[in-house]
Amino acid sequence: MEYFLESKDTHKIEVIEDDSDLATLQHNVKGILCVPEDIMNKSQPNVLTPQTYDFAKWVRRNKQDICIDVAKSEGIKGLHSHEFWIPVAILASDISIQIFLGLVSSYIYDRIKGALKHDKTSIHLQAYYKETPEGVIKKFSYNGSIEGFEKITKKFNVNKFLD
Amino acid sequence: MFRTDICRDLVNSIQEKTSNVIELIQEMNLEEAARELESIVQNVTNRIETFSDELPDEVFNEGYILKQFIKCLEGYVSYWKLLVSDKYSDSWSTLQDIQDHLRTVYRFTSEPRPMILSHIEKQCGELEKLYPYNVFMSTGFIKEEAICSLCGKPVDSFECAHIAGELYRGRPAYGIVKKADLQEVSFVLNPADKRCVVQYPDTAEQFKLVAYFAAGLRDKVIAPLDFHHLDSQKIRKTNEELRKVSRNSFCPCGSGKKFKKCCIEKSYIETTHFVIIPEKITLSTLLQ
Repeated sequence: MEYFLESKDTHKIEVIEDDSDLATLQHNVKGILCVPEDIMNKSQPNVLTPQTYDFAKWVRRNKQDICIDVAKSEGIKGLHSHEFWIPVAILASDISIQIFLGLVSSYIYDRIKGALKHDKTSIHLQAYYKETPEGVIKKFSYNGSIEGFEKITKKFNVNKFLD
Repeated sequence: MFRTDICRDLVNSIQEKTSNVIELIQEMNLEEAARELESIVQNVTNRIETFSDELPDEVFNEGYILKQFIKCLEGYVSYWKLLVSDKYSDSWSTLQDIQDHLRTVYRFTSEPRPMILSHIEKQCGELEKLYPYNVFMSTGFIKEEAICSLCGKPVDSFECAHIAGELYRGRPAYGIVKKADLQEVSFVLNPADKRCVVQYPDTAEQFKLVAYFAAGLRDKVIAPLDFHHLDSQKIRKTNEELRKVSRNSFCPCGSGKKFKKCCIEKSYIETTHFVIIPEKITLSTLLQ
């Protein structure tokens, strides 16, 4: 049994060792491709996160210069929690991780306009992107509060995280 | 709060009656307040129905928001009615309804808003502390089929251009799940819907605090709009259940040790003492 009653803000950047599938996917996409969860763990169900289409439609309407698409999946996860499950994203070379985080930040800001002062909302996101000049594929993940996410977005500097 | 002349006129036409409702709530004349609100709803609904199709989307959207504002007040009246009728379990759900209407109004409007909204918002947050709910149940499922409430197309696709939660000519878009596979029910601290809780009977010990507050309302010790916040402090009090013996006697718990080496630490217990803090407010400022 797993317990997730208390959540802390956590972020992580990891280098993907076996990145051949991801590299092919990334090479073939333009902009952002939203993929099912646990793409690297085949034992999990092949489903999209709850906010996938909401986020993708929002991007298509508000940031028309950014391409976004959604990969086929076996279903979409539905949750009754006060959380934003941003789609797992594969970023093509024309979208930097900084641009993606800025995009998520704008989306969240728009979505929490109706929040009450005592509402607490958290975010979960994962994004795969190619780091230049090394050319390695990395995964950025964040789980935690909106406030924590805003801090990460502002201070974001990939090299510092890897120090 | 409203930008269109039509909706501003509509608000002005119900201003006096709405002020009256607030006074009636404060006097705990809740039946009369509910009747007055019903007539406001009727008035607003009739006016919205006469909106010409040629009017821009914004007018219809503001009409919807105004109805949400009135529903928020209706919920507020119902809440106090349930509370003084000792229907604590139902009052919790109504408290959630009020907050849902508030979120809708906040989402589609910008400052300045009538003060009554921020007052109710703050009260809701504080009133929740009176209840015994800290952990909630939340479902997780795989959606296999969900359609859009407006166009009927699959909501999780680019076929449907609507975005759930947004307004389209006064109608909200949302997904209607037609087929789903329930995966889990989790215990969470922060659910989207706080209505999914362990049910206690209204007479249960768990409602002691809210029952105390309801008694204060009935006895007119405090008026609804004057409730400001709930203060809590830890206090030490004598443990009445502990049989007192001298320090060197054998401990009454039967451990065979001396009392001073055993349960003497339990002579005092720490409990939480709650204080309901009122604040006298000027009713006339609430609709500004």
